[in-house]
Amino acid sequence: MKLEENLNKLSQLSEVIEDSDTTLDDSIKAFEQSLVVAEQCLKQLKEYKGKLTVLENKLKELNDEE
Amino acid sequence: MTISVSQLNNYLKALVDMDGVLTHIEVKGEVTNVRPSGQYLYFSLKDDYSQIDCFAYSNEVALPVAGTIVVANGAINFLTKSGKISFFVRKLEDTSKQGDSYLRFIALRDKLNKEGLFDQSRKKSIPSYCATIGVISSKTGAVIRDIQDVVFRRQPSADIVLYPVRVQGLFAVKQIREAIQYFNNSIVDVVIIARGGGSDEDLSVFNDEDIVRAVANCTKPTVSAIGHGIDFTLTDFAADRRAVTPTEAGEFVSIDSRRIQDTVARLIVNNRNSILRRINDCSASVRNTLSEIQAHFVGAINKIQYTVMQTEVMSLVALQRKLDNRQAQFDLLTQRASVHNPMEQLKRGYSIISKGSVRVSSVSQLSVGEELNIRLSDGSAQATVTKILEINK
Repeated sequence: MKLEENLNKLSQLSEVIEDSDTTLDDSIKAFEQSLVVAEQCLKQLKEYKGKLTVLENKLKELNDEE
Repeated sequence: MTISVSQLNNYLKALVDMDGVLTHIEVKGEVTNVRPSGQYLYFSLKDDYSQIDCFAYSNEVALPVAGTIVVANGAINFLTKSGKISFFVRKLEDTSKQGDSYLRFIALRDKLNKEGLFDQSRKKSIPSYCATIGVISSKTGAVIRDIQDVVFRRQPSADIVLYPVRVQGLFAVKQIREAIQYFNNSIVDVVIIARGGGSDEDLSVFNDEDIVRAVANCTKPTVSAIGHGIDFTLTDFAADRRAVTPTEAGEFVSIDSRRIQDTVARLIVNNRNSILRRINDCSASVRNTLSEIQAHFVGAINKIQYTVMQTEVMSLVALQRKLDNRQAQFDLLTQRASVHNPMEQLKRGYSIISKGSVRVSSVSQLSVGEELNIRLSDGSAQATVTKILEINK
């Protein structure tokens, strides 16, 4: 799933949890799901940071060539 | 009888010096060729047919005006060394009249000016690049050499076409007119009409009406370079441009190729530097843009990370709150339950009496001697009814 989709999912789960009409059981289930989604988000963000580091190194190489 | 030159000249000088008329003479004529030179003043007197050179001390005679009619008082001087005659002027009287030739000159000038021959609107521009240059001048003398020197130095690729003419005297007008006509039908880019310095009479051919009209109507751009800078002829007015010297005329019609080479070289260097600067600016711009993009992404990623963590925290807080609510509800319910809990009653000292499995709640259920079970908070006991006491209703 794309990062934006996971973020939307996380937001929806958060709304469910905060809804006072949601039962405790469903809230806990929603929270467990949100943990899984948040973990995926953070993993994706970590990948992007890695790619940025590669680009940063390339930029440094270009500067050094100048 | 054979004599030497010196003897002849000495004899002639003696004749002149002893002549009563020639040593004290008044001569009336038109002033021309005025040339002051230090303590001396040189000029000529002329009429329609003749002229004579004059000199005077500049501190004795006022500077005469060319074209005016004067009466000069002095003596004829014969120079033995050169064999020349000149008129030494002791006194000069201006009759405030203008000579005939001067008047003719002014009349022609005004007439041609009125016709518009000298108007600025008629002037043609000298082309910025003249590949072929026509020259009307004498084939001998310094004029054509000066023009060639300056043109070929500045613009080696130029072509010069010389139409040789007499520049004074007989046939000069005809030849100069024919030269202009020739160049009208030629491929030259410009025509120079030039002659060196001379007396007013020497230059007078360039005041001829036919020549002035021919110059004004020339189909090619014309440059006049006649006499010295202080000399002005009607041809100068009619030409498209006037030069004070033949060298200046050559500069007008040629380009300075060395300066152009320098200019081109400088432009090349400037362009190169300008391009290098632009390349460097673009490189810096690209680097800056990449840095900005990188910073943007880092910022965006950090922001999303923070949002994710914050969402989880808030979800947890909401969940905790919900849990706390449920806990509170549970506590309330258990508290209520414990109030109604029979065990709590037993703890307060109450007991449950049962007869077998039947609970006893009234003395009417009892008989003396019956066995009872007494349930207390921490256990039970067996008891026997020994006496029954009923509380009065």
